Amino acid sequence: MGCAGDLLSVVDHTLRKFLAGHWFESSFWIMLAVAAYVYSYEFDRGVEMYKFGAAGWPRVIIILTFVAAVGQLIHQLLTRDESVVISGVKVHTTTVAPPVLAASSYVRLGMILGLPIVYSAFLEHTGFYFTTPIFLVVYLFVTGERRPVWLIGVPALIFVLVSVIFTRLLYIGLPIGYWPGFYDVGNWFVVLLRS
Amino acid sequence: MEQFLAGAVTLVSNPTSIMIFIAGLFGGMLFGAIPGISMLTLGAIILPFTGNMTATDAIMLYSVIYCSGVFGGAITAILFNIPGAPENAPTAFDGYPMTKQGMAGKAVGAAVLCSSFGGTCSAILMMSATALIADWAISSFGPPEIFALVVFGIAVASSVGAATVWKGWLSVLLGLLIATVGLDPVAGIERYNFGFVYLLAGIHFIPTILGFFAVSEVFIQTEKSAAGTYQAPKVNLDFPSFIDFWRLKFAVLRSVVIGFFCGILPGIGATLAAFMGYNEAVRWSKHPEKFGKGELEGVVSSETANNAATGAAMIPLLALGLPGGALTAMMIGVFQMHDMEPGPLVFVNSSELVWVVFAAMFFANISIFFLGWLQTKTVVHLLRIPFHFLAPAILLIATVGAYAVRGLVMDVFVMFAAGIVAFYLRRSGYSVAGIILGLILGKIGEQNFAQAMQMMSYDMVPFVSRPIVAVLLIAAGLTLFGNLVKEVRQIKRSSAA
Repeated sequence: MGCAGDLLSVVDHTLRKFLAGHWFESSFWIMLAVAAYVYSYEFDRGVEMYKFGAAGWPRVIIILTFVAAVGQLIHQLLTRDESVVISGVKVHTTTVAPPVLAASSYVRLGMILGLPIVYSAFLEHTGFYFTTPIFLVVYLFVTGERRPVWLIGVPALIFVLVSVIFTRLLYIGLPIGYWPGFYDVGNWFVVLLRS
Repeated sequence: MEQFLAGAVTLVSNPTSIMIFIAGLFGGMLFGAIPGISMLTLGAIILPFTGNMTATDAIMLYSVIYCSGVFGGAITAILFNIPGAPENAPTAFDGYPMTKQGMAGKAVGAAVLCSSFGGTCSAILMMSATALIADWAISSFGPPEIFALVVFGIAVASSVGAATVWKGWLSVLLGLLIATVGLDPVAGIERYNFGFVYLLAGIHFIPTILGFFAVSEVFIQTEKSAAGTYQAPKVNLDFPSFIDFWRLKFAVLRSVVIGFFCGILPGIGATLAAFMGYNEAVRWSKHPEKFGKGELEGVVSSETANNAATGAAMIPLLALGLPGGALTAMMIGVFQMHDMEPGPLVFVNSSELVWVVFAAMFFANISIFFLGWLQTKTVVHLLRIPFHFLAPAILLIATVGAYAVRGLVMDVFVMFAAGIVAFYLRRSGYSVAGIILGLILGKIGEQNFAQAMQMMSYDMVPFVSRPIVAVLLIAAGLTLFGNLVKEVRQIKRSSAA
């Protein structure tokens, strides 16, 4: 837990520094612009009916991005401050003050950010009806709920309500999964809801 | 006036029409409030069944859904930072901060009243000047003018919500760059898809909006909850007072004009109307720094403008047979199912239909006020639910919303990835609104620029000589110049300090 917390703490700090620091931030935009420009040669083909081709519009955006990134860098170097003045009012660029967290909280933050990604990665394979209840219970646990009745009851209520509304009433086809077994569970659930 | 009264009498004297009117009103509000499951979903679902209705009832149903659907998304945008549709996104900028400050009732009340007012004004304007306005707007607004309008919109958006001018520009440019992913709008050449078939269709703005707003908000609040700094919003049902609205009379009137004007233009519609209404409110305000932090004027401006666009969107549809957006395109389908063609002749051959539709839209906008008031008194109580119970529900609704747009799990992934990106960008002074507006306007801008260039044989002189283009480009230039002057002053002040 401690090791994972330290690692996530480093990742989080790096990301924050990356976005807030002078050079890190501008480097990111400049690298993005350069990479996008280089990649634009992949589709730089002439279009018979359009002189500027498929790459013309993206390249203008990329060049403007480069200019804005340099402008931002100059701004930060000249002001030597992470805060700015908008219409006479001093505003910190860090608009939402990041709370200082303990190492264990970084694990929790990592899970808060990472769990939905894991959920979406499994969604297509294991299906909505199998994956969602597990995701809801784990997410609620991660956000601090420990009472068993609430831990089971709230996800069950949310899952049933959402499933009935979208699957039965609105007739929206949600993923049922295609891995063996999961498909059968998903399909069974859809048939049950719509019967 | 006689025609309006005749239309109103036809509407209220037929029980079937009344039932269809009520169903459209509630259906639009419900579907408009659920992200991803917009009024377009409802429109698509009911399209096959409209063949059994009379042409008047069918077109009237869609026009009512349009009015109530645009309003529907405001409630979730204000209470949970989940815009039901892109046109409600600017409502969340100030509506949600107001909720966090315990002013949810005030924000929702303003949204209800302004949606109703904007829509009603638009309906009145539509009734009084359809043919005249349609003729002017359509003949004066071609691809060069729409491109110039997009440039102006981008210029204004870049100066809103970011910590510096440059961050504002970087936000908008990131949105524009994301919009280039997929097939190019001129020749269909693959761009930035990195070999992924999914990316050929581009990155859809609905999952991105859900990620930037709803998901990132859940992450931020959950992080605060983990750190023990989360403060639950107070539930307050106070509606804005008459004085509040009187103070904002110019913002409301300005948004009516902006919304109506944007609504007329094909392909622009309520989304740009809402953003432009919001942006202009910031630009004209004496206290622009208050926007984004819970300023009532922000909610008022965007909700007035997006509903003012609804009546205007009917003008090119009915007068010229040109749909301004997806829902009005469905209406063309309804006309065709009944062997009719919208256009100038519809006013001669089907005058009753036109005036029933006008009357229905007028009454729909009036009804929004009363229904919205009832909705406010009930829905605001959802805020009493502890946030850690709401968080998984919000994530799940957003997941279904993102998936339902195109039936792609990749959209769900994009939404969560956008949520993580926004989680970091929002605390670094970048403008989420700018990114979204860039994403929405990117394709419109490129397509119209290409058409404009082809029209003008790549000669810039006739392009910029068109009066409306010139005015819009000069306005965009002045906006940029003003921002740069502010930037220089800021640097000077900083150096002097």
